[in-house]
Amino acid sequence: MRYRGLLKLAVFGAIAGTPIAATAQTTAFDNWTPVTDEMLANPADGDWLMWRRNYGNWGYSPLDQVNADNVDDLNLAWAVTLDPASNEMTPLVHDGVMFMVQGCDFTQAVDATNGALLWEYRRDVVDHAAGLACGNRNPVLYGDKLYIATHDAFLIALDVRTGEVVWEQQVGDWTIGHHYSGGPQIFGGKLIAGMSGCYYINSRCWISAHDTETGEELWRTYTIPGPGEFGDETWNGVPLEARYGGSAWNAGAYAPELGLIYYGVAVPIPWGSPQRGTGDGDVLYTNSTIAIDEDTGEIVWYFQHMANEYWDLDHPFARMVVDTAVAPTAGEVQWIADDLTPGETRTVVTGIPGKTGIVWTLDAATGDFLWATPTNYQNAMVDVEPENRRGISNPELMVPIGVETFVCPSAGGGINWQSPAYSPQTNAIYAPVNNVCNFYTLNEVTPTIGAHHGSARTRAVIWEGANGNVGAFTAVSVETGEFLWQHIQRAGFGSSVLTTGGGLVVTGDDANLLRVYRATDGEILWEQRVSASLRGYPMTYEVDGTQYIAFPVGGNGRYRARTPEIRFPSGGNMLYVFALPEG
Amino acid sequence: MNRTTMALGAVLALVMIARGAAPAVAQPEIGPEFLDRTNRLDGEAITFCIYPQAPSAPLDRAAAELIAEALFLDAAFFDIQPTIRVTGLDGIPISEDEVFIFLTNNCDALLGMELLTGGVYPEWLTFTAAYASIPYVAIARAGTYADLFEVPRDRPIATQSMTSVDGTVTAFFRTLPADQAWRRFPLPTSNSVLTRVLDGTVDAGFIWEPWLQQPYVDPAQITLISTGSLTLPTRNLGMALQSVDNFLRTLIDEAIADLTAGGELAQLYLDVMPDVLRRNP
Repeated sequence: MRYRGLLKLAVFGAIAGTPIAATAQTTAFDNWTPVTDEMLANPADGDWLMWRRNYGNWGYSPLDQVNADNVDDLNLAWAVTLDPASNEMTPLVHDGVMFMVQGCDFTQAVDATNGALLWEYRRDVVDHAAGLACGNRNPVLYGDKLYIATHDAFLIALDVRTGEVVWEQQVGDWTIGHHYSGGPQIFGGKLIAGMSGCYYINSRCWISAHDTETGEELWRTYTIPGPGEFGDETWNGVPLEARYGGSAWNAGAYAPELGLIYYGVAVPIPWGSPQRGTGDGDVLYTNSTIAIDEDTGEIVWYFQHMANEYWDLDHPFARMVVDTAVAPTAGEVQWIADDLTPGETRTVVTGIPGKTGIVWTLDAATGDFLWATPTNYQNAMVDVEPENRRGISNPELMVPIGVETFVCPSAGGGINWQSPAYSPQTNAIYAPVNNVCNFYTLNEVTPTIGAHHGSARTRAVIWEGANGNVGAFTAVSVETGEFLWQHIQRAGFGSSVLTTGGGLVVTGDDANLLRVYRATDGEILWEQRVSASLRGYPMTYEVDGTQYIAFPVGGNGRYRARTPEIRFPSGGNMLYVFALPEG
Repeated sequence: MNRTTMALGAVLALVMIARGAAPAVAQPEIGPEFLDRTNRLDGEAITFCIYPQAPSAPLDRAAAELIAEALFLDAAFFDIQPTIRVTGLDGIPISEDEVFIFLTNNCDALLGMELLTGGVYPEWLTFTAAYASIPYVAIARAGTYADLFEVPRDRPIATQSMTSVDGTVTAFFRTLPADQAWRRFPLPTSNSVLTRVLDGTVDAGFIWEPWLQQPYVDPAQITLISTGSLTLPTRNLGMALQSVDNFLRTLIDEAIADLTAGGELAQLYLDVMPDVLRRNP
């Protein structure tokens, strides 16, 4: 086995924490070239420089050394144990060096060919009230720096060669709940990040732009309007200090040719209108896509996917920017804009932005509604009002405080922060969605304890129409909205997706199975049981002519509570890296 | 009351035996590195977790001492210091996981818990009977109103979101004709209610009565007002224990029943929070 020796070395280095000789670091960075805007816009095939690899959040790499003909030859190249904290990691690779920003911002740089440790950075962990604050979803590379958005609401820049802090900038206040989960992006030469943690003790979150050399804040855009601003009236007079929610849980997308940055905004808090006192107000910009001018931070357009929402059905997930013909198929797609010219090619913002599991496709320049259709069962969104730029929440489910109702998907979501991927080869989105519903009751009061706001109590069940199957891995055409294929199974899908130029789709499930599917028809080409459920963001890269596929695992399966026979011990955070045998 | 070593030994021994025999319930998934599973031997004491920033903290502490004494035990205290440093929250800003850790590592019972029904608490928690019942009150700036119904209907009235008084007030406003109802002005904390009443943003507001005891509240600026047909709720305070400590909970319940019947707990509120009562009309 080619990799056996390398695996031993990697494990020894990671566990023992042995200082790495300067010569090893020097060697590893011999080929390092500073990351430029051009590289970010058109990354080298072997690189993965940002969250979903490109500005459009595709999760796609053109690498094709591993393909349908040889994928069943994949072997373990190397593996390392990751920090035991919450694991939602995206490994980044440039010029043969991998950067792993793990739970609570613990960061390691390793040789991407063998996992040998080059340096590590451990940030002091604060005793944050939100248990999920430590889940770091992505850093970004730019110049000679690795940029991280931290669990204690700082932006920091590390020297890629040493891991030393070049600068750090406090952006939020963790003692009142702020934290970053979605990581930073570099858009138009600026460092952009969205704040999370606006629960019930601090109001309205924001997206901000920063100078990459100093961290100085350049602009800030709040996700909830203040008095006198557009949308203020949608809060029905609720004072600014009580406008909670609107976290920006995930990194944004970017259309440089339009000068627009796209972010998703989460739910209002408390979840129920009767609790927050907003009546029938739409509570902008919660559950919206907002398009922001990259220079000024001004909101250029918005589209609210669920107005006046009650059920914690967040819409902060990855937005994808794609150039495509737009020709949704009537009868297959649930909502289509009346004035659409079928077949017209547009730049669109698409993907599954929210927990409802609905694919939304909007014009990227204007935010105009084009089409939308669900990928899992849902009863929470009932119509679209294109002219009012909003999806209509189901009024029959808007029951008073203390009254139970049945909502699909559950508050856990048909999809959650796990990201679908897009393949330009098939012009399709590959979505790890789930058919889970919940009995849902708005709480009368906040329980005495609870760093969380405690808006509702829920009891989740598998949707009865799913015949006991939670997972529904679904391929959807971006052009037509039709399903190309769907893989239904008992275990839920709680992991993100990778697509490759080899015609492959990679994801994992709550039964600890890492699987590779053929993009065109969904045939399972290869599978590997790993030590824990698949979490984080899979990615692929190339060094010295070898393509590697990396997948973080660890943590509990998100939907495993609905499948009690699927049981594994919790924990077990690891990074697995696979490659074809030499020769 | 006299203390007897024999009674103490019997209590502690029975608690330990009962805990070992208790039926299992689902517990939160917390890494073993955070839990001290060794049995804490507190000698002659029950250890109570207390949130010192709670407005009811003086009453919680005094009630715990009284209840422990009734059980021929000492009361020891472990101060909870949450990382959320926001004053004016009625609840304790810690997570359920943290409660489990405290009740495993640091104390036998957590004081100041609002007794709620409807399944809002996890199975692994159990609660004693209430040792105090304290109402919400309506307030206005001194010299403005004596009764809520004197407040003009076009003026907003402040409530604290996600509290029982918020629910009561919201429901009451809904029963009024549209031109007779005030506009609800939801705010996050009792501090913000007090601030908005004092700065005139709202003409009246509702807060939990113990907040009137706080030193930063100037009694000369605040007046309590009557609410006529609007009956304001009370918060019933008890202790939370792990369900496996059901036997200890039963002992505490018996002590609370005795002290309630004898009037000692009611008198305690009068003794511990005199400023609150002085302001009541």
